[in-house]
Amino acid sequence: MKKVYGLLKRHSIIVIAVLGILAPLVIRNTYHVHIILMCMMFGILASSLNIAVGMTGLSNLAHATFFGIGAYAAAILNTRYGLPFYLTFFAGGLVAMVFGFILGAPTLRLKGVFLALVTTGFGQVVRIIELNWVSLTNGPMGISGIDAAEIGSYSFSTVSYIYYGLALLILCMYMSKRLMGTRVGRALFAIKYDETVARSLGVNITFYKVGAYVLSACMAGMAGTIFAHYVSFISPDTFTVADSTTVLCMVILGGAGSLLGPVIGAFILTIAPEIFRFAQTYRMIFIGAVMVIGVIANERGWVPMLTSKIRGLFHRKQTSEEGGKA
Amino acid sequence: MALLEAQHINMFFGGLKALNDVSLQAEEGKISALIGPNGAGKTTLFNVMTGFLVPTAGKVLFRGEEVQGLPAYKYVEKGLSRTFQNIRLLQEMTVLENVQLGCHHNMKQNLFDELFISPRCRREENESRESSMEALEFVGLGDLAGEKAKNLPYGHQRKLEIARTLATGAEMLLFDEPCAGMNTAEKAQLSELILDINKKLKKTVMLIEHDMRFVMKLSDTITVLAQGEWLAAGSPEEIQANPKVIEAYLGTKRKAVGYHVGD
Repeated sequence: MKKVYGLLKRHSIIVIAVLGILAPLVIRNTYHVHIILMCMMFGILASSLNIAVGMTGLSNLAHATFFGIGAYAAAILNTRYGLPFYLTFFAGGLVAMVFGFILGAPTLRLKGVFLALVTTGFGQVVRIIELNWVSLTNGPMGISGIDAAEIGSYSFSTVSYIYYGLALLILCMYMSKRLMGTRVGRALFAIKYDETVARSLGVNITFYKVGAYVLSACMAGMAGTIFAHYVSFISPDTFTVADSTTVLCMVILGGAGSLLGPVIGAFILTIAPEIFRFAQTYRMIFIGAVMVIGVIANERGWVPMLTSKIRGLFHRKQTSEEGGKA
Repeated sequence: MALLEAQHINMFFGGLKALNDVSLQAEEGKISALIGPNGAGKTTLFNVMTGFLVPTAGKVLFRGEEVQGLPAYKYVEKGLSRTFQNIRLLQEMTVLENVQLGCHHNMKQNLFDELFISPRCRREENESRESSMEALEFVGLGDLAGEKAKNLPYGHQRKLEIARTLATGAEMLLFDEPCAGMNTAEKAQLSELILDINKKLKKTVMLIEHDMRFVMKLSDTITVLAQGEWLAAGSPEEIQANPKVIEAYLGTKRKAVGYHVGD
């Protein structure tokens, strides 16, 4: 039992990958398949936001904005200039990176609530630009008629979008895993826990903070391009500040700074509102309450809490067995 | 030749003169101490010499090269590493990770090395693990490498901070009140450790300390500050005999002299 758990924990990325590959094969209902795709999208968002929020300790309430920027970049490049998906995918990531830099560079000295405020403002500014720069973004009408993704002669079905999203999600998780326990990740965590120490040990905090923003923005932007090609219609209402808050909730509730926590948080907070759809508007009150209580009860997030509980359980069993032998 | 030298440092915070024309030298291979009553500006001077503050006027020379005004993270590359008055550990990280962070500036790997697990990444991570373990074993924390830093007792946390400065490979280490809050036995252990660092590892050490017995036993030279001004410098014997120092610490009453400084 302990061995199985240890194996699952060590190879959690592979577990997610296998589940992600199997899910669309088993589940055929179009509505369910759509929800799986949204799980992938939010999984990428939460996992990439975790690099900035969970590892580096920078608050960011504009993560859905980067997703939107990627989606708009893909939409504009595709509908105006006819760029195919495999180009808009990278272009969207690049544009989001540029915006990540624009947000990151001037806000370096800010922390906590101040940074949260500035990032919220950034989200609003981008939204207002999307609404009013009609010649570029088509304003509130949004951009429609985005081509379905194609690679060569192969045109994407919903399931292929899921697999593409899954690949990006696995990349995000793999990146997080590699960061934990190597030089760059140690520097990020050091900035989160104590900037002064990080500086005294030779960490260029400016570089790493901007880097964390740029990296997480890039992943979100790439996810946005997948989404844009999938839904084929985007408008400023698709990417709101509320979505950014939701992504932040996924990270915090699941476990900021952990590998699996944000992804599990994303899955649960994407699926739960769908399951409770029968309760109509009451479900949001319910989910909101769960979030509040969840965070108050456990700051570390639920996934790290549960894993340490399970580890404690095994530990106790082991010691009692040893006691029995003696 | 002086390894680290502060020349005519002035540090003003608005109207407050925290340091007024202070100079000091730290000789290579020696242990020097910085003492003075509370509020004398010792930590401020440390902050100036390690890049956390830019002096209002004056120069900081390391190996004869001007370093004032450089960003703080560059000082460790030059060969200066410090500890803090209030222990500053990355509490949620393991003991080993805390020390490995000290190797940060010696490593070249970037995100892509880490993603593709390049040979450079593997080599550097192994090297940093080895040199960190070496530093931990040197201070006597080798078997606690996997613990979270916050779980260590106070005395060990101080040692961990020292191990971290050792792992940087810097040739000059600055310790800000390394034995604050320790009992006599722990202090004795720590003074042995600092002597070892100086003699065996050939590191130049500068420390701020309030415990006079500790300072007199360890230091080769002592600089005294009082109220932001340079007061005296010299060997422990000279400092103990200096009437100005005695006055700054104890006022002019003769009775108290033997009690503190002469001990």
